[in-house]
Amino acid sequence: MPSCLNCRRPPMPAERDRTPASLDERTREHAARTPASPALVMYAGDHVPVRTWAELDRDSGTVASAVRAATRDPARTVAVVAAGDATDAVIRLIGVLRADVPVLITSARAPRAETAGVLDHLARLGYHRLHVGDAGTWAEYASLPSRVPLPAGSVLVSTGGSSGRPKVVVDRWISSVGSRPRQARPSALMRWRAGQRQLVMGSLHHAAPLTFFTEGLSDGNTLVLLQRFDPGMAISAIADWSVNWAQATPYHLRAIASALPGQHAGLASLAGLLHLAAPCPEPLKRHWLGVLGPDKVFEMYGATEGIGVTVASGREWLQRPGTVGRGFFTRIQIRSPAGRPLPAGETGDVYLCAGRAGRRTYLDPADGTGAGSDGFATVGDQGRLDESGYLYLAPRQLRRIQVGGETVDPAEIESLLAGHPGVLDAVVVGVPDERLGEALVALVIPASGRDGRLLRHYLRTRLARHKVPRVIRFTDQIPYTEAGKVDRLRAVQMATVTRPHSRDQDTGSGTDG
Amino acid sequence: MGESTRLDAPELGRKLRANRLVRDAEVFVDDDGMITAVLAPQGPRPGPVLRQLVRELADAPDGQLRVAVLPAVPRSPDGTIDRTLALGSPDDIYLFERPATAAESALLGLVQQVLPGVAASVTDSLPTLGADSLVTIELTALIEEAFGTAVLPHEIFAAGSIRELAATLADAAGDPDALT
Repeated sequence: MPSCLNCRRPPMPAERDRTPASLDERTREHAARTPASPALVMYAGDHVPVRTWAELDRDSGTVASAVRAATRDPARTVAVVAAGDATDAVIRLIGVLRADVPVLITSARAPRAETAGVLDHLARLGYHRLHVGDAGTWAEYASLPSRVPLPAGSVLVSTGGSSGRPKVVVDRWISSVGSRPRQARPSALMRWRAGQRQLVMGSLHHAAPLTFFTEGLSDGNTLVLLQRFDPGMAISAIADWSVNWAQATPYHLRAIASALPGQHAGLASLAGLLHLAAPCPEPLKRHWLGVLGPDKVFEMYGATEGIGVTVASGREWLQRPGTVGRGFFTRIQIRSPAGRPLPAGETGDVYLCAGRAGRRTYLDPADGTGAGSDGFATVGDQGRLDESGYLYLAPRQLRRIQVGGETVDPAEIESLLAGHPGVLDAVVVGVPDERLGEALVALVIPASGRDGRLLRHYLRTRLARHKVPRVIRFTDQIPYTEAGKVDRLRAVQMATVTRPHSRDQDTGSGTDG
Repeated sequence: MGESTRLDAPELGRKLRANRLVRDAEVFVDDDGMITAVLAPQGPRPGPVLRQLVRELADAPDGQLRVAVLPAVPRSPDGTIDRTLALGSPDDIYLFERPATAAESALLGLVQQVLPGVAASVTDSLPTLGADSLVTIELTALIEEAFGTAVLPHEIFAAGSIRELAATLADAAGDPDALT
């Protein structure tokens, strides 16, 4: 463990004495109080660049000043910055966030066409783009500036990028989360402490990792980032830096669990582990509850659209296995297809209301209503409430596939595929099969290359044989519903169309048996 | 109150349809003088905002006004509004009721402090008015100061309406008569 962590930090001021401060002010404050303490750790195992608070403040402050100076019309300018794996890229991102201008964070791994599509969308809506990269900042001006101003500090999050036209959410929570009172933050329920050492897993262009990254920055945490996700690397990072808190997806949890057979001593420092973003299979959840204990494992359900969240502690989950928790400043209603509220116990569409009535959800007004006039909105999940208000999500439509008598949850295979660097997006569906009942087909949008054999090998080493798709078909589009969820019915249709001679298809024979 | 029956319902309907917040609207008056404005908003519009629009245009007593907000205005085959469908779901109907007790009045005053610019009815719930976690926590502090009662932000957020919350607060204060 690095020796600088042994030096004592001056005490943090008591929570109630704090006044809300911007990310910029908070960064200066931490740099003034603990200049030599590690702020940012880019963990890569052998070579681990560390930035202290003084360095982080100075370098990201330079970026922030440049961005402010280059922004002429802050309400109509979007700073565009890529979420990269290098220290400089992260510092740049922090600088842009400190500048308090609207920001779009792009994926460094997304194909150029996808990023270009989002940028064109911004231009068509009349927003100037300020590109912030390693070569400095440069602006592209919209010819007809929008009449609709963007609020300061808004973060634009692109969702459903693979469904054709990008849908951009205007988020006003992410950049301000750290300046909110403790009680208003879900992390308050999850053993989060200001000044802790925090592992951030997942790319910062995703809303969840970015939210906790920003909150950690504001709270003066030591932020440990992995230069790329690797389960062994995650375990060493936790052990080497005595990480107290981490957020992960079920994919990360599964990968770490399989890389950590039997011995969990390296995880002893973890006080809180939050998983979110995808349904967590029950055996995996039980595994982690066993490893860390029920007081340390937390689950959140929510949406990029920011319409509300639920939180479940490990203890709550053990009492009500399968629940995603109760609303956190979020009302939950289950409604019939006709929109009528349903009583506890009945399954229907999940509607959430977080009291953000009247605030814009999507950048483009054409992207639908977001919330109804009563403030409730849905992202298209189905579920039920119990008598105490705990939410249970229903297995999604076509969520369970029966292969030769075995039940397969496509989410498990999809999250594995999504974790592969060569995969941008993937969906797994069942197509009718005479012998097995159903056979698995994976539709995959490749990030680069189209090598089905490599992907198949990757899956074979991580999954039971019956879970490895018989066919991996490369495509440039995965169908999404208006609500941003995979349209599995259409995906089944796409998968059923046989194209035996297509180059884009890899038909294996090893999984038929 | 009988004066309000002179309201020109078709004219109010025209004014509403001409408003940029409204995609479609119809207005009808019941035998008992109750005016109902049925609105399909243009884009996402909170119910209290649409209700305020109707109040400003209708020039009628609040007690005789109700606003139904629906995705589309339900019409019969002959083109007239389908009143049964329009009033089918209580959740879609917005009334405007003024405070009836001192506790309601005090609480409404606090709500207006944290949500300035929103015309709130005591029948509204806080999330419907746009109170998110941050606003709710601000309101909690104001309530504790004004009522001398410790409340949890989550209880405030979950209360069905300002009226319901005021009753709880008055009860907790011990002497409801002192506040009425």
